[in-house]
Amino acid sequence: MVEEVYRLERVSYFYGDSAALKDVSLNIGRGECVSVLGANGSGKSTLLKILDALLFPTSGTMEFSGEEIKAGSNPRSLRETVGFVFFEPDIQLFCPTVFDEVSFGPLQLGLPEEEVKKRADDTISLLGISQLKDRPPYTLSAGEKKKVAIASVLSINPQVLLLDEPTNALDPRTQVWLIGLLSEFKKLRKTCVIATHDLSLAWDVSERAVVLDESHRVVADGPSAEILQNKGLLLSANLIHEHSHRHGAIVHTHSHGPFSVHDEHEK
Amino acid sequence: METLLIPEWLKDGKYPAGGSCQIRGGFLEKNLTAIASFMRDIIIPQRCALKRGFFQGISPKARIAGIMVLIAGAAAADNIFVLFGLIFLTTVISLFSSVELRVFFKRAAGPFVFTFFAVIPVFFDFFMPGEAFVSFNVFGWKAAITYEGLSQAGRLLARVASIGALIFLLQTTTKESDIFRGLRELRVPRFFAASLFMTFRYILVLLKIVEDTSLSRKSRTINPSLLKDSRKWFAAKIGFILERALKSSEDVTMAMIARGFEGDFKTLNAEPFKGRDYLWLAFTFFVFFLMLGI
Repeated sequence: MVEEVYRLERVSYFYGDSAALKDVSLNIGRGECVSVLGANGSGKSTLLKILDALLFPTSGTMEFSGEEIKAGSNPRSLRETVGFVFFEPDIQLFCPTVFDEVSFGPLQLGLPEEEVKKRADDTISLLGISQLKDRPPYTLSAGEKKKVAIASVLSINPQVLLLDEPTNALDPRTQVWLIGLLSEFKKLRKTCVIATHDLSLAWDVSERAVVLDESHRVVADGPSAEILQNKGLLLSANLIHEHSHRHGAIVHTHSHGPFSVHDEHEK
Repeated sequence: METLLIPEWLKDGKYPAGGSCQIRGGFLEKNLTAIASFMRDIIIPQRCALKRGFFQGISPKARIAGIMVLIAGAAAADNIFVLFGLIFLTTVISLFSSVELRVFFKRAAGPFVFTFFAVIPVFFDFFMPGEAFVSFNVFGWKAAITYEGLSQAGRLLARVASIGALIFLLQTTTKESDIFRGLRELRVPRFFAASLFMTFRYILVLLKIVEDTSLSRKSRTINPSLLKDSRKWFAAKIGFILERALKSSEDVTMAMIARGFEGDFKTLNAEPFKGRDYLWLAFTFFVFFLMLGI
């Protein structure tokens, strides 16, 4: 039986009066790679923040490795195990240099200095950003910032990786690099939870997909291959939309989005 | 597929009649852009910090400590010639540290000019009575510039110019990250150094927001805006920027907690002082006592 990392029972979260999540129940096992799919504002980022105990459910319960995470707690075991790559690298990168940024996590966890330096150097060379080591993060390009943000999380050796829209603002080459990196994590049996509306990323890296719709509820949870072929579901969750255009006498109708389900050609 | 209903006015494809009338930028917009550019020049590390030079060869913490000692000397010195001597010394160090003298004097002149206008009343006998240097009579109103006023104002201006030059030397030859690391290594409380760094870091984020907001307004401005309107717009934007700043600080705190931050900003330990660092510090203490003694 797969060891359970997360168990969410009827979790709801509200920002004031406005709902971000409603009655979300979810179990995530060790080594799973799960994509949380949903349109803008469906609650994906809030869900990841709850999984990282940065926000606490307004109602319902969240357990991490069998331990209930209660409001206001900052469990050390979770901090040592879970790494969170934020949507906006600018928020995540607050240290004077890239090296400081990558060594921040291990330092806060109280690792010995030699180990911190080794981890920072290893992570920087793993991600191929050695030339950026002494640069202030805010002077980097979007792709470089994202790499530094990932490096800053990897250096704590997380067993669970939470990624919020990881392909956002990345050029195609960096996207391919990221997919390769996530595939390597899967081989290492690290647990990944990826919040995205990039369906091609979900197809490439995750074996399971959870869909949040615009009512902030989970409307599907199953194998990615099945969910990503379910055109009706993707349309209703606003993850793709349908579009028709004409090529001479042929009316061409297909779904549109970062990922397309090509299934119709009408005359 | 749903058909969009385009309003009639949006279908109008006419280009406005020619003419190359220039729209002058508003007073506030121009100043905002100038302030943003000035702040960025100050905060963003100078290319000079990456060059080889005398000052760049000293460790950041020794540089900061030495400059602090010299600033303390400038604050305590009473002799205007000593202060001019300090400006000369700073200029020589700048020359040996690949600092462009034109930029050096331009930047150091900023605080000098500002202070000059602030101390104008000190020149006159109604503020600083004493022996008249120049007297004049304007429509029956008699006034004089006094030797005492000139001396007091001159000392203050020389002090401001020397401290400004020292700070510019440090800032232009030291990477921003090294300044903050140096502060931490000098046992400045970590939280203070970190807060200072993050303040500078977010000034840049806020400057970007201010500039982008100002540019987006400019891109939609056809008639030159009245100062009154600009003021109203700016006041509204201050609220918006404050809101963004609060949101950013909340998000940054979350990002720090997510990586194990529990309130104590842990950092790597400093490298020990080297020979040239000790020499530099000894030199600055020598200058400090010399300034007090003269």
